[in-house]
Amino acid sequence: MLRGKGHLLIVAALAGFFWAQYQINGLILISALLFLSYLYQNKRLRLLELLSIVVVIFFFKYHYAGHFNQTYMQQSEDRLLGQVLSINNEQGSFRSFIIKAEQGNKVLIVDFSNSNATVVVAGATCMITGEIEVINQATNPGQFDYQRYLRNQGVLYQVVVNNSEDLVCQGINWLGQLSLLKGQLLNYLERYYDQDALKWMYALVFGDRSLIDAPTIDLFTKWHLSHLLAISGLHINIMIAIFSLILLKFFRVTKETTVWFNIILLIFMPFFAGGTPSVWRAAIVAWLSLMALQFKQYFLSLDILSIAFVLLLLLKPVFIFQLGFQFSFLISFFIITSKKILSDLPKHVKPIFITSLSMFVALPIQIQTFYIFNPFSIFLNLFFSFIFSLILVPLSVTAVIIAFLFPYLTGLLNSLISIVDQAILQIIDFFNKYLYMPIIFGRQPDFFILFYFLLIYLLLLCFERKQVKKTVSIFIALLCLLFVMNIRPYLNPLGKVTMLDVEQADTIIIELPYRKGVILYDVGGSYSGDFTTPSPRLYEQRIRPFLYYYGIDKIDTVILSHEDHDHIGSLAPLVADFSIGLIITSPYFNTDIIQSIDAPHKSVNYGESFMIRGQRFTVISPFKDWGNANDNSLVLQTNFADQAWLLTGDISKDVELNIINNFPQLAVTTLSIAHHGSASSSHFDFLNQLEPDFALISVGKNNHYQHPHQAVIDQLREMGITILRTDKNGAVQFFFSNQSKKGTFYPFIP
Amino acid sequence: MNCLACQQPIIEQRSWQNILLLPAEKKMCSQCEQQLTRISQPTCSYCGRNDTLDCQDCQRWVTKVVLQQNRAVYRYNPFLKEIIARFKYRGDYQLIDMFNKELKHAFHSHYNQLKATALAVPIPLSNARLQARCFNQAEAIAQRLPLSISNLLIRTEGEKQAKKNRKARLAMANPFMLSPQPTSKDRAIVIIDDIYTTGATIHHAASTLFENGYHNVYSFTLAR
Repeated sequence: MLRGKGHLLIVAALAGFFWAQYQINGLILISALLFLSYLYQNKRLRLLELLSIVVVIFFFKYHYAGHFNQTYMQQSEDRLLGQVLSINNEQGSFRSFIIKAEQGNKVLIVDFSNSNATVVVAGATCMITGEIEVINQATNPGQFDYQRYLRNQGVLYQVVVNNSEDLVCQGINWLGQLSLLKGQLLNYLERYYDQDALKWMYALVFGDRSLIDAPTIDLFTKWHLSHLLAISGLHINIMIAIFSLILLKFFRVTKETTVWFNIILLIFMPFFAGGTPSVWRAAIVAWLSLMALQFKQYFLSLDILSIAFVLLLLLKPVFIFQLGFQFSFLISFFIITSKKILSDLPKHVKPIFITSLSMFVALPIQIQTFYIFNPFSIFLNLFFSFIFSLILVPLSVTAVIIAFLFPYLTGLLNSLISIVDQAILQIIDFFNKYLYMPIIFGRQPDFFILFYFLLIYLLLLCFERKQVKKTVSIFIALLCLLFVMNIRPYLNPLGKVTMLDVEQADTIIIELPYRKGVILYDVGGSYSGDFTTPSPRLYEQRIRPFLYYYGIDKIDTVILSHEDHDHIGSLAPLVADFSIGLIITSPYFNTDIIQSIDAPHKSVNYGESFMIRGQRFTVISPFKDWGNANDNSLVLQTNFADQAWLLTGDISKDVELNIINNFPQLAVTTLSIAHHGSASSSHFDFLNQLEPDFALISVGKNNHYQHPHQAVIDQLREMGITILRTDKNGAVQFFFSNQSKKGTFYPFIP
Repeated sequence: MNCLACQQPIIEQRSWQNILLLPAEKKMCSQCEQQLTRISQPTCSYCGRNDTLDCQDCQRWVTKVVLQQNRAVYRYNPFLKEIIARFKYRGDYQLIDMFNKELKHAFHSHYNQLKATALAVPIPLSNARLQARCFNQAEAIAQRLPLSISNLLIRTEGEKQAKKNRKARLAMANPFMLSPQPTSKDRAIVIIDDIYTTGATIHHAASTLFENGYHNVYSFTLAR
């Protein structure tokens, strides 16, 4: 039954999933049913097959329905008892894990206590003292939504542990035992190998990337090579091949027994090798194939992949949300279905075809998740695929086995792997230095993605039929589609002003209509835990994703109001990633701070007007050197869709009074409230003269300064001014059109 | 689904051409399919064989003008011979389903212009033979064609054609007579049979029809 039609199970499982997730959106379900009934009508599907597929749809609907219905917890509780389900992260002073609480909820425990007093392993029962809090949601466009990410795993709450006495654990289960065993295994290997060799063995055999340093991981991500670090079918096949060879040649085991040994090994493989979706996929596929072979059954590889898909989602429903799962199955599906094309291709073209196909198939997911694509990565991918599959993976697997069988040979393998390690790092550094030219696509509408996959399907169809002309024209259409995706902002008549939620800092991003220019007013930075070391966290998590999300690759001008870290802290990393046309400051700005920044600088004087890409700004302040950075903030007036805005930086009441004194006619529609709503700013007279309709406040949630001050808020309310603040509304966006002279505010959290 | 001819499971790889709208279920595996030889152009313009283009047999028939032409789907090779024997003599009626698609396809390419008007006339069996065999193989083939079937002929004697040699077949008296049925004589007729060997049977049938006023007679067989 369903022989050769297994992929319909994937369709069914996905239809059920979408049905459960988007309860009202029956469109996908209806099209799936129409498609199935069409197949049935045309005798492509037998009644029993049709029925079983419908059963799978319903099954998955209920499978996932429970997943999305979670009970809420009373947040008053401060003591939590539960069992550890999985360890998410364990590095140095920080670890996080998920427990299943007595009440049935899953809770994320983030432990900063840096104590080794308590061993946290899967199956342990833990008593945690701390405040149960709802996990923060994303507050900016493009920002990674941690809340949604955890909700998809069934986790709605977290407890942060800061003191070691707040976390007490006891006990273990078989999963924990297994991870302890793995730990012992790794300790044993450490006796024989250096860090350089060990890191690859950890990653490629045990699925543990913790030894690879962060810059290398970043480089691999940047060059779309992360899949090589994930254990997949290739690694599993090499492991099986080497294990079989050793069993057959050294232990003289029969072939029959070897296969059974492998079948058992594969069951444990996912637990040992990190348990990522790609390991699971590869292990289940390999297991099913071996079982089929053992029982003399012939299955199509596509059917096996489909069964693995359904089985895996039954075992691990959360996988469907994971990028690794999506990439893994999507690419496998495309490669397997292209078998016929591959069999017609010359031998040396096959790897090129597979690499390019994988790249084109992964591209939409890449764009929708990271908004950016690195085109030259294809060459590095091709090259590294060879190095990994032919050299590094076999060497690493052999190194692990050798350590147990012939420890005296480990020195040789150690140096071999270290040489490969050096080569890999140098090559990727070289590419990164000279060939890193990313295309920033920005987030695309779903319609484009559907159309993209339709074109890919047609492309492969014509390629398979050897219709050269059609194939070429579809390929050109595909490139045109990518081009259109890339220039979409330049066709958009709407301009956009965004006050980004960068916590207790300031960043305003102006995108002019038809993307005529991108202007930043301040680029706030953050500090790391010690409150003195600058940290790129805000930039990496909020500012850069935002710019990428809207497909911004070049910034015309960065205006810096004054020297404080919360207004300029992200400038250095910004300059490293984007080309910046000009930096504008007030004449009193301490330029020593931006000495190292490689971008032209210009200062503008009081009363001066200047144009950036057709957008006029007028300098309202500083009138003189006020002697302190805040008061020297560069205050600018500009118009969007004929509505006046005033950008104020951190000026105090004195400067505000000075402004209304100098500009008695000045009135605005939108005012960015100075200094995060501090009581030292926002003088009544100032507000009274400007008469704004909207007040924008950039302020961090529960900040130490207790900004915005209640008096300021009361004042604004009393004057009937609409308040939009980043701690409550997230990013606040103003979409405007210069033609219709209209603009509207859209807070990210309404 | 197993192959009707060899009983082995049919394994068909998925590719981009058949992943979305799955292909129709196949009745024959590709190995068996390869053993059949489809008759392709060019063929003898009269009897439709393509192993030789001017056949001696046809010299004889052409002069009689009772039949316009014969067309066939496959060559009568040992593999097909075996299949037809199983089908006809050992009563494996299902085997004919292996040829459904090709029968339609070949008929379409040769007789597309006759589709609307022509009548299919299967070569009949004698009553005794029909009793023994339970089905008429020619009628089974005719049912798979896009034509309406009319049993215009009746067989009067029942000697097995297959048991006769070439000379005896050619010398045989015409075993067919017309069944009284109200059919317009202007309609084209396509005589249907399983095999065209010497052409004797089909020409007997054709001349019976010709004598009774059907002047537009063709024939179509599975094997030649």
